[in-house]
Amino acid sequence: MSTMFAAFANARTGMGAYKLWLDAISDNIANMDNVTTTDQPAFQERFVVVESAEGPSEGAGVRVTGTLFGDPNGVVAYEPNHPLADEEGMIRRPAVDLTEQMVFMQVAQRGYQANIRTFERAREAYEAALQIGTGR
Amino acid sequence: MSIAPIPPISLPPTGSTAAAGSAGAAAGGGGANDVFSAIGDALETVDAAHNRVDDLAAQAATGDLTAVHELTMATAEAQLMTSLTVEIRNRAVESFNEIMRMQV
Repeated sequence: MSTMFAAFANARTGMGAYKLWLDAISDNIANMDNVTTTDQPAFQERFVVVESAEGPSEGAGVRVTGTLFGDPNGVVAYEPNHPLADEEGMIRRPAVDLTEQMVFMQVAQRGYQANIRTFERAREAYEAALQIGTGR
Repeated sequence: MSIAPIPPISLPPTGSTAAAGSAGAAAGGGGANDVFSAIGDALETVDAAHNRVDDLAAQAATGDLTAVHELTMATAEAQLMTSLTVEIRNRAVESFNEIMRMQV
């Protein structure tokens, strides 16, 4: 199946990878304002690690190899009135940059859509090939 | 000037083309038989693809589907595979009928 429709299989792996990235970004944004005490680690930003899958000449798409995590130290801020503040009035926030996450989200969304377009084009091409010689 | 001799026309025995009408499984030496048995094999692959679509559709209905594109892609793939197999079958039957209509 995959040998007949390599473009399909490749596009599927791409969609899966970008979907996972979108999921990771949503998690980062959901947790970006978590406040912890200074003796607890901050929420760690999630990074999806991918690599090119080894395959035949037409490729085997992309493979998700794992997840990496950001700085557990986060950002220590002075907020003496915060209920979680320690004796010095410090709290810990995650080192997640919303602007960066929004840009990543845009890239992930477009990447996902691009893979869908690849799939659609391949499908259209194969469907056109089925019409060869029918005069339709 | 030399004229090349006309090579003899070789045709498979008529028995094998008649057997081809019973589509597929019957193993024979004829060319038409190969097409129909290939279609039989292809239909099994198509069936597997449709089973996969069924599984994913069940997952979607029960909320277990992890990625929407898996279902839609499997559907499109199964549809394309079916079209391809049916198209090959149509062409094979068409050429078979064409030969059957031939005036001898």
